[in-house]
Amino acid sequence: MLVLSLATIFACAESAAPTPEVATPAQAAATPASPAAAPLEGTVYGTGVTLPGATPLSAILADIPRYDGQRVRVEGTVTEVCAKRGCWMEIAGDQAFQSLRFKVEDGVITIPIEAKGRYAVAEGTVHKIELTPEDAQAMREHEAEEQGKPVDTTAPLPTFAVRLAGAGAVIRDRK
Amino acid sequence: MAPEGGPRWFRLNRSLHRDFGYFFAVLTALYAVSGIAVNHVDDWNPNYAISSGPVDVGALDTDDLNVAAEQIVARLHLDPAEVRGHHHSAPTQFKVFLDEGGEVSVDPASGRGTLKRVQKRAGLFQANALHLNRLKGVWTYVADAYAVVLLYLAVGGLFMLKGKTGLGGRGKWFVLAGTLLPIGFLLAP
Repeated sequence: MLVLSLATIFACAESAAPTPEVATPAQAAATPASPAAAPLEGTVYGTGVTLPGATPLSAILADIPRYDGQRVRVEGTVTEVCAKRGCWMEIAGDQAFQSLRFKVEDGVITIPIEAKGRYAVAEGTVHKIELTPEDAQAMREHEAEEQGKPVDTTAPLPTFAVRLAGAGAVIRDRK
Repeated sequence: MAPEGGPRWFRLNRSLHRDFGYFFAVLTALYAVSGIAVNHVDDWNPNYAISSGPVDVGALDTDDLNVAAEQIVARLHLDPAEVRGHHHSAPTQFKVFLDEGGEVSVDPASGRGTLKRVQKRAGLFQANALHLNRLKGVWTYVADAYAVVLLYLAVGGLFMLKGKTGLGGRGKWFVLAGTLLPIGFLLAP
């Protein structure tokens, strides 16, 4: 029992370690000059939200190279949550059928599954990730497994993915 | 000559080991159970029991998403109070979000889809919250203190017995074997 306990507590110590914040030169230059965000109503995760204004998700997806590496604040309904680890949530965009995945380090922030359908104000760094066909297939299979759904074999495999490397979020019932 | 029962530090070690053992018995059991549960996260969900079943609500004869959500709720006889919102995530997927992470997801054209219900695993959810430090805040320091005590129990436990069953006797071989076990796994190709 003692050995098992030690093993488990040390296993968790690794996942609970704080993640160094990713800061690009542009972000480092821009963040201190930005006025702080007004306090937001809701449950705070991670470092919360510090940027004062939200960037429309449609703007990010329409010009990914411009936002790649930039720290942004986005807002929208939480449409999906990582059911097993709470390590990501999908945030709906301001236009139909658009969404962006807010990804956090396992154990640093845990997004509860009850967040689904609630309103999230989230902050993080936009990353465009190039995908090989193997990566894309593995990602699709992993997501299907996580969501308990069959793997979609009809849609073409994506060549890249856009992620918001999550720093913090505030989640509440309504907008 | 040492007093009866061994030197003072020896008796103190036994007393501390015993009393820390009593104090942390339940927490150790919770962490152990949670450890097993989260070790197998690839095979199951250690926090939630998720059930899913097919539904057919018929075609949604409206473009108004609020009305579409109301139609789904009414046709499935769901309690409107448990609805959190809705989202048209794809042309063939309209979702109505329910309390506790549940959802109805249907194709608006056919009305066919799934109803997913989510329930926390009673006891295990709370044990995982402690073990994985989802509580953050003060619990972080309680867990740190517990880890320090576990370290003491591991080291102090080596010196609980004397003689041929103690560390100087066969105990050292068990310690060696227990040390080689993780090293072997780490070095294995």
